[in-house]
Amino acid sequence: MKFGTKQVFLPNFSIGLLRKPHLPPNFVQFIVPLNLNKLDLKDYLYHAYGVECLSVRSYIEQQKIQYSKPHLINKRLEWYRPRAIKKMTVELKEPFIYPEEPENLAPWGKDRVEQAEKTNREYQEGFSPDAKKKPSPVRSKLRDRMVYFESMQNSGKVQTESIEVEKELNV
Amino acid sequence: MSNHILRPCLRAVTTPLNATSFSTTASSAFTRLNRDRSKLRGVSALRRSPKKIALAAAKFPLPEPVKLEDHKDKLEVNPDHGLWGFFADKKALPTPLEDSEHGRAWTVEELRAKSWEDLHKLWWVCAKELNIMLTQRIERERLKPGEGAHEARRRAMQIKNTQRGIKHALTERYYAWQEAQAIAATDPDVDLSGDRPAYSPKDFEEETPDVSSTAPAQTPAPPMGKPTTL
Repeated sequence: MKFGTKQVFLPNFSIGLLRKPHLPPNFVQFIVPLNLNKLDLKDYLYHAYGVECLSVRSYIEQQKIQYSKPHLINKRLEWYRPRAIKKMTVELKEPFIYPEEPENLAPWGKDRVEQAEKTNREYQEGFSPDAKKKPSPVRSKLRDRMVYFESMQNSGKVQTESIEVEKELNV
Repeated sequence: MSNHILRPCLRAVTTPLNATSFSTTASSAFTRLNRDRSKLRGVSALRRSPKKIALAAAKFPLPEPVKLEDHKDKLEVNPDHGLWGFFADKKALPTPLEDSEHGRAWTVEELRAKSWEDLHKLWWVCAKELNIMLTQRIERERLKPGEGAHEARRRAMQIKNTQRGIKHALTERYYAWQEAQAIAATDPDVDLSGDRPAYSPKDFEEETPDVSSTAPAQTPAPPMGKPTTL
């Protein structure tokens, strides 16, 4: 079909732009639906985004076989190969650079999530058969507590001697 | 007369400091002396390794490609580039707070009132927004910054619900049109062939009731038009 003559109503697919640091700035790569072709992508980019392409190349990546996720109805785990991914590299008329990564990941709570994952992992490892052979993480925490307690005692801020509270009454 | 082979001087060549070469060793002087005289070096029948062949192309070193990092300052991306449509606020990834700032999906009641042109435009707005969300999802899976996936899923759900509502309203309209077509086939007043006007009612008579004070209250009821089967 001639460029721009194919009418598409209510398209039910999404196209994602990939970050490719090793591609030159006039090249950009997309993840596209498996049944999309190069001509369609050129058409789509021009009419939806006003981006002119000089050339398009595509390839399909097969996915590795993986276990199915646990399902309520079908509890038997089965091997399956997920759907293949189609990627297209487009040569642009005007260069484009993917925006920079965020410098500080604090708004995404990376420390919090990592700490939670670490705690979970340690808990899970406590159930392994050779968990008792390894020093448990609780012991290291006890050691830290002892060190802290000793430092508090030596600082003189903590009361170490016992004070008698009960008074003898002469009735 | 001695038959000795003339060899290049083994002493280090001392060049004065104002000369072009700063090296005190001429490496080309030693390669011929220290060459590998064994021509069958590395040839193995067990490992099937071939004889070493000197390539003429090895004399010319390969050029190094230009790295983007070194020249990034010189490059300026057009602020009106079409591909910015794949990003929200020209950022790679929104924070979970930014992503959760969104409204609800369009309801079917609201969409029923809209024309086909408006619904189609809204569909494309949703489609382009989903492209942004897919781009962000790919980046989030690569970066693994922590949280944000849940908020993004919720946002995408609203967009997909809007699209679903659009299809719902259009389907309802299509079913109504289909039913109207079926009725039109049986209705004698309706002619969809295109030759005559589409609706030409025959038995409709308009009779106004007598409003004079002397006339009796009993007046014949005005004949109704053909009852519709809707």
